[in-house]
Amino acid sequence: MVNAGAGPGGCPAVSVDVGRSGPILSHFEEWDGLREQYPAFWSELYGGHWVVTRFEAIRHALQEPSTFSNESTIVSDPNPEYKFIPTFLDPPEHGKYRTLYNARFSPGMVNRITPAARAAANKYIDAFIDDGGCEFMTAFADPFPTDVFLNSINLPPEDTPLFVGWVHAVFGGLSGADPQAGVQAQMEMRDYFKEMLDRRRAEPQDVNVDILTYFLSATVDDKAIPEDDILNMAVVLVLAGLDTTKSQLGYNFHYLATHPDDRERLVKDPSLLPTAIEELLRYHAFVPPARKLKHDIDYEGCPMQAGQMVLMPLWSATRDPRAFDDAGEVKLDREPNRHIAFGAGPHRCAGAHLARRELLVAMEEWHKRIPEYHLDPAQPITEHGWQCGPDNLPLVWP
Amino acid sequence: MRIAVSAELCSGQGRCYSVSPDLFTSDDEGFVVQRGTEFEVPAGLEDQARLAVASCPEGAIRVVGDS
Repeated sequence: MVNAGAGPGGCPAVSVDVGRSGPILSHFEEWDGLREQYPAFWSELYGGHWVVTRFEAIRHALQEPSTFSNESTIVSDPNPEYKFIPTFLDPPEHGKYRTLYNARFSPGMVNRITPAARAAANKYIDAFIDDGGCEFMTAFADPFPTDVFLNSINLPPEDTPLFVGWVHAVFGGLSGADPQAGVQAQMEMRDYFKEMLDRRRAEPQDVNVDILTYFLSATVDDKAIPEDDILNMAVVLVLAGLDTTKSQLGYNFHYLATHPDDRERLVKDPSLLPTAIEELLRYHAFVPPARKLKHDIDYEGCPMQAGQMVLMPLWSATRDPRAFDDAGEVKLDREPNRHIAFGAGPHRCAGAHLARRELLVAMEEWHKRIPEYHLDPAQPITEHGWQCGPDNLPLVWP
Repeated sequence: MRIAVSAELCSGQGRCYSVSPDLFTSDDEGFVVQRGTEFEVPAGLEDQARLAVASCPEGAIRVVGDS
């Protein structure tokens, strides 16, 4: 039980720190308790904000941008001086930009890049398979999705190490480790994309394949998109696409390393993988979206006011027993599975189809070559907060 | 059996055409082609229709007549 103080309107006040570090899976397990005690509560942390914990209320809020706005998605910064495109936009403005992404990250594009993704997975596995083990997060979960992502938007996969470094610095900065390094990395990324835009202007590529050429040729309200906005969109794309797939790979392989029966089942029957991946997404939905209230509303029994922020950890929704039978158990053949690990509503993850395919390719190729593995028991495994993810995952195999 | 796909709620999650490929297909942007339509489920595909209804993360697909 987490004891609550008194918050606004007599609502519970619970100061649970979504940004803390701890043992792997500890955030998800903590919220399994919180959700059952409180459908909503006030937190004094990070400037003070509301928290909603259950599936239906979280999904509904994400589908109602006229009340729960994307004007800010950072709980500690309700009035940001910067703007992430398209993240900080609400309909109808949001849709004008969002439509530019959909075709680029469609199931068709994903099919096109799948052979290259398989080759990339095997390239990274080649590098460590004979070592009898690896630090999975740095040896595979970092470079593999980065390589595939760069290929998917037609940037050189050889630049993978650059992007891995930038993404580390930005997310390290957001968690408070070294904010200056995070700002520096964002500037370096902008410079990188600025140079790439110059090259694309000089030598345009196929707009169906090359996202920068496409952004240069695209229009919003019949006007070309300003270069500053294109740079913003490119950086947001990197920040949305890389750390996420990395963390999901980490959680999936952590689960399979610690559940040999389930792993063996997938090795024997890879046709179960797409369903299993949905279940592993549900169980480890590590993104905590936030929204800013456009007007006052009584929600989940709490008097929420215009201008306040509302935090809605997706893991709290996707492990809600009101929405999923045996929500606390991984069932690899769970069907149906209406999880919202990619969010819901207009801001649903634009890269969801690509992410799913990356997870599928990684898990297929890995298990063909390394069907048996377990954790190195000598090393504790930790998890960071906010957009949660494993910090390390030491695997060993025979 | 008739089903309806809400254009307002559908966000292109793509679960319907993944779990019920004989009933739904994707357009070039990853949205289901049947977005914003109501139609009669062909005989024999009722189970796929029910699975799609129960799998949609947005609750965008419903059996017409059900609340």
